Amino acid sequence: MKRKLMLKMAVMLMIFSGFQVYLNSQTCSCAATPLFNPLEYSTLKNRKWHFAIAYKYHAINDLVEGSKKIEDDTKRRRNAQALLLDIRYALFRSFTLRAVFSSARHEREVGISTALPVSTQGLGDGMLAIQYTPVYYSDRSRTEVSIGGGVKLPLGQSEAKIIGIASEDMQPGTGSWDGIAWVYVARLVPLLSGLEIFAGVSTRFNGSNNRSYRFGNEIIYSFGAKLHTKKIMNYSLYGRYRWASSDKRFKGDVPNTGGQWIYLVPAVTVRITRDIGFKTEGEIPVYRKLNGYRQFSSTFLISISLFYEI
Amino acid sequence: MFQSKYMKLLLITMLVFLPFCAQQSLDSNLSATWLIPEEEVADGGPGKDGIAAISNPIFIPVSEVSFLLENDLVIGIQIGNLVRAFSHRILDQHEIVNHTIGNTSFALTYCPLTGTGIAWDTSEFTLDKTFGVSGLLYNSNLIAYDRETDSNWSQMLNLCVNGELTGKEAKPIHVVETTWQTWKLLYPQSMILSTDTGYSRDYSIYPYGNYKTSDSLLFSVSKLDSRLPKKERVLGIIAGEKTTVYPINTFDDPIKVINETFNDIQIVVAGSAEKNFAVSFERKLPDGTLLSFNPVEGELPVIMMDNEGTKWDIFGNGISGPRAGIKLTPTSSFIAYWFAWAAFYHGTEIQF
Repeated sequence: MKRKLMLKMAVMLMIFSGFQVYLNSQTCSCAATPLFNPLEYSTLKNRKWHFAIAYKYHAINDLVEGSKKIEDDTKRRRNAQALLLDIRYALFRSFTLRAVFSSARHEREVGISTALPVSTQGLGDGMLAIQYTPVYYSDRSRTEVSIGGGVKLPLGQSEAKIIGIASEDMQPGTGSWDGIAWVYVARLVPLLSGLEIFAGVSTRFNGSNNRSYRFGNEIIYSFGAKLHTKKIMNYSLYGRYRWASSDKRFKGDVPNTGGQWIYLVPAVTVRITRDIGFKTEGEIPVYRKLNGYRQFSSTFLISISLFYEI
Repeated sequence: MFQSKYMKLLLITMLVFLPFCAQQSLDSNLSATWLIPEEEVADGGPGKDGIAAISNPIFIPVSEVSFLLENDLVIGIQIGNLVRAFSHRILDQHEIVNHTIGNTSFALTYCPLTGTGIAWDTSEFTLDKTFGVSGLLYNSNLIAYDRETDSNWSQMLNLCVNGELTGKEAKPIHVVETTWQTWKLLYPQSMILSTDTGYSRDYSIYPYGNYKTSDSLLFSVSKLDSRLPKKERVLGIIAGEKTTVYPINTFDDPIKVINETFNDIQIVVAGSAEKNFAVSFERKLPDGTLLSFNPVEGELPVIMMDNEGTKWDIFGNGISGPRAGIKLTPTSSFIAYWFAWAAFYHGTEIQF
């Protein structure tokens, strides 16, 4: 009964958070900050530490007009790379604390230009969060429900220069305080050993930096399945829908920012030992409907993370 | 045991993170000295040549154009007897068109963020007479670069502000901005830049959303002046150390002519709110004669007549009368959004 109530509450929260963002929100399609998105929401056992170092490479070379990919006759090449240090600690089985630190690097090159590529790099933003898991897997439960929230800290370099101040999407950090929240529900499928289905929604409400720039708020819905094998490799495949509103500067919309994306995200986790493993994940856009005239948008994102649990 | 595990983890983390955290930025070929505050130079986002200048323009007769609406703005230039027009619709997406007419090479530069169209004579360059878009902005305004020396030029200052040619002044060529409807009446036989630019663009779309009509800016400027709405189009005139502006929407229809003395320079300003143009010339001729002008209606491209009976067209050419064939000297002036003019020229006077 209690479990059903929790499930209902989680669904209500998902819906509610979605509407909140629709009313208030916005994001940039290519800044480093979306690199924060693919975070692991699964729970930890009591008093367990989880450390992960992740490297992410985000190629942003697709020129998109609405939903249509078109040829970029300036031959631009753009990528963002990030290193994330994700530390989690389970205070209790149902409460997990989390801290994320990052560094980021951006590269940009215009193929038709004689100019050399430019790049910026530096310390990225951080995040502090808490996750509450009122329902978790046990002998009596095949369901897990988590609710989390936190703040994104403007720890990063947000005044990097190329010549003068680099554009906002080339900054390692956003320079703003942002709020983050998520709900995650997972369930082990009866009769199909090791198969878990899950759904999650996460949102980010962004603040402005000292140049009055505010990345668009966003909401991300995820739905997918994980296959836990008895061997060392686990697999997952899920779809991710991301909606972001336009960025703002001086309270006005920044043209050609924001939109909707659907990604397919395959991942493989390899547990080398009981405590150590690594995970590789890809993110491929399969649909997008972008605001404005044209935007450079994600071509693919790959991520490799090494984790260690104590 | 526990501590040792943590120490190892911390060490590994630091080794991985440190090289990535070092602050770094690379740029290719820029000299360090700027004539403008370097901290106010902004990277616009697309990067150098990320906005592609047009260097092989194709022109078509005005009569064949179907991609423009009547109120769309065009910029006209006259070299000798030849007149060419360039639409904002194309300039919004390319910002610079390099072209040569006869012995005169020029770069027509247009900044969509500040609403400024200025042509520079580039004939003096020897190896490469073309300009490109640097991707940099100063006070929200285009910084162009010359492809011969890679020096950076501030459009609204008409000045090289960085690089080998630092301090060199650009040589503006007088241009006229007006609506497409008016241009067709002014020069129906002229040629206009074709949408066949060599680049795949949809010129029916304005790429900056509601920027033209909204009160917001995309980049910061050094100073905001609230005496006029930010995007009010004004004709700004520079006379020595002083500057003044004429809001275009204050010109009576069909044409208003103002004979003025500004900072000891006798000028005439002619404009029309309906036709969306404003031009200005010096009233004092090289022989010392001081002319006084009145508007002429219904005889485009003629817009005014002086006290001696000479009729003058919008480019300042004497068309008929005793001084036919003579050309008036344009003032140092251009049209801009008010916020941009005020950011560059603090304390400017506003003529209502």
